[in-house]
Amino acid sequence: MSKIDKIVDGMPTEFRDYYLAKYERVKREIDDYFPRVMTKRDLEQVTGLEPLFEPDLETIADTVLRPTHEYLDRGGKMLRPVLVALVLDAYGEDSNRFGALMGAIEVMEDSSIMMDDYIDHSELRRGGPCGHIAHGYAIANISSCTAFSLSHRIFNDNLLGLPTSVALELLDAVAFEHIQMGYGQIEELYWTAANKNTVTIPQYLQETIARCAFLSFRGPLRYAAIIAGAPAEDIPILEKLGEYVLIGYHVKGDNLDMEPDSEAWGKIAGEDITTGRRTLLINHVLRTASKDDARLIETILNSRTRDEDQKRKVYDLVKKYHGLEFALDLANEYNAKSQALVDRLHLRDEYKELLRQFCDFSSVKRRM
Amino acid sequence: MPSPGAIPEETMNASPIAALLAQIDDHYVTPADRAFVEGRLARERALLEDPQHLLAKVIRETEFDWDFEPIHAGFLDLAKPFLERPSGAGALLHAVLREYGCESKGARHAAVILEYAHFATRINDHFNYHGAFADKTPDQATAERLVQLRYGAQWLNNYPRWLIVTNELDVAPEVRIGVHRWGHRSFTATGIARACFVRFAHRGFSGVTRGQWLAIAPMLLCELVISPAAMATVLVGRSEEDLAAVKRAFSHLSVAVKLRLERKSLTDFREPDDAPEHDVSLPMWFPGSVVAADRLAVDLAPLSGTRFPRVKHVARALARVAREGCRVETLRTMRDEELQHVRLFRDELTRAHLLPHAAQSFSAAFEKE
Repeated sequence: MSKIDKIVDGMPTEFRDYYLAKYERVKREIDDYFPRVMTKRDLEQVTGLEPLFEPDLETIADTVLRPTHEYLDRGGKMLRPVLVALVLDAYGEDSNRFGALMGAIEVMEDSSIMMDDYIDHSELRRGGPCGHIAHGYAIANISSCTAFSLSHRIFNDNLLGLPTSVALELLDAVAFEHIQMGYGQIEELYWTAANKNTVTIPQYLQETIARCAFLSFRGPLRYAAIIAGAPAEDIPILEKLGEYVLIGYHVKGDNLDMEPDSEAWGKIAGEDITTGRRTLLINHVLRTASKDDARLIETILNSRTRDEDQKRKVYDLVKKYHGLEFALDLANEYNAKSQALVDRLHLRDEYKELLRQFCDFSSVKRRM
Repeated sequence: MPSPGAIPEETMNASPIAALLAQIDDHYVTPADRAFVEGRLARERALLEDPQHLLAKVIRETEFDWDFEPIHAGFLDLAKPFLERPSGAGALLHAVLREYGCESKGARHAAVILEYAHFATRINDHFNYHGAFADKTPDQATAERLVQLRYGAQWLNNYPRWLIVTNELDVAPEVRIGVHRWGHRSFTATGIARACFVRFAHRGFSGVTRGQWLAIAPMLLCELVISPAAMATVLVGRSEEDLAAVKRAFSHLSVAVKLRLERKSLTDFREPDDAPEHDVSLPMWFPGSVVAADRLAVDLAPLSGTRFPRVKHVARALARVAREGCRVETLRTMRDEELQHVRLFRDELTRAHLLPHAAQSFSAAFEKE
């Protein structure tokens, strides 16, 4: 089974056809938008400063561009740029005119997952070494932040040539997403560092939205809708839709971390146990388990172990207390809420159906 | 007021621009500028801790629940040493705004954006130079604390953007776009310079030319030297040509500041202690121009962890070699070059008919020696 076959495994038919057509386009756009070399002119454009002396362009490319390209070259699902294309098309734009935007969104995704990887001290991503393993924490940190900032040139330098009011609305939307992301990240890391077990489900859901919605999927939905000039009443619906799909997507991701159902997952199973994360399914198990079982889970999580036997014990208790089923039920609940929101959008039926299939796949049916 | 020419070590460790401003007479950056910024930062700090403010203007009310416990335990308590001293960039912004004739209180709030960016860079530098990450498997507890801190830096960088989104700056839409844009560019420049510094250090500065080293000086000092002037120029709605001239001028000033700091580090400089809040000064005082020109080298093996050389150790070892071999003519050449860049700074502003008082004040400060 090829990588793309594994990605689309479980994808509903119409959405799969749309996805495959856009997937190739996004791949072609990435190098144009985010080149592998840095020229003096590029440096001037991205920093706004005319270079003095002779900058070491090779080292800049090697440290700032290359680590993100290593992620991009391994190929992700590219769901976010495809979603952007879908919303642009749905509201009457021709998404093919916005190739740079699609490339930019994928660069945002891949530079940001490099950050996720060193937070979790992960070793593998998409079957290759994580940025901090290949280049060290310092370069991974600087490179991911800087590449993430570079990926936003599409908005900051108004590369799409949008009217001032639209360009500003987009920049404000991006700033809001980044502000929420910053706070959400602090919440998650504090909860983990403090081994906090009293996090409520609404707090967990809010933290997930704050931390991840900038790309999954509120941000892309909102950006594309603003650019396409979607009706004002549709934009809050799309934002909420992005949050609900994210909940399903994220919970499904937690389940896949615990119990991968595809060899293409490309990560080490049970990393959430090693990092001590109180994911939703762990949160549920801690609430419902016997005192002894809960204590055992806590002890293992707090030890940040990589030991497979210890991780297996947690997995067995998650199974015993139906943690995976609990999370799946929640994913289904929010998938149903997402589908209901799609009905309220001012769109042609064919696009509503594509969006419904996107929700269904992302929340429930994806296998990696 | 310190004596001319002597950069107090404590100030130098905190912020090179603060050290430079300390040498400018009080007519350009006034005590009132500094007092205003300190007051504004104290007010912002109170807001940063206030859930009602966060809900109303920053992270906003939502369908679900926020947890506010991490504000202190997960962020402020850890970041305390990094938040205590403003860099001086905010005060310089005020001075430049005043020279432009801008008395808008709204525009002056942008000092918060500059100072928070500096706080964030200090934390990021601490993360980047931490020896624990040179090892194959960093100590788990240390690594977790550092990652927490580093995400505190991300919060510090993003948080003040509420001032732009809600237009507390009280500026026109085009200017708000300019403020968003400059923030990103400054952040990008800061990152590129630091990526080069770390990679150069990992290589023991082998093969790095003097031109390559000095090319990153404006980006290393961007937040402190260029950003206050550029941000003020954006805030008052000056043309792109004026903005370009200001950035060119202050890029030359950055090179002059950098050479001055390097020169001081070769002569009357004690190595800073290991306090994390001093990490940000490391690439600024590091005498890379001499290391590169003289092709100085050290044995990296004893300075390395199990995977990568320790950046701080490499920089300090090379700086020690540079100090030991430092020649009078080298210092004289650096001083001449420093003054040459100050002249270029002044000429650039004069040609564009911009900021004559800044040109005069900074030039006078550099003439003192």
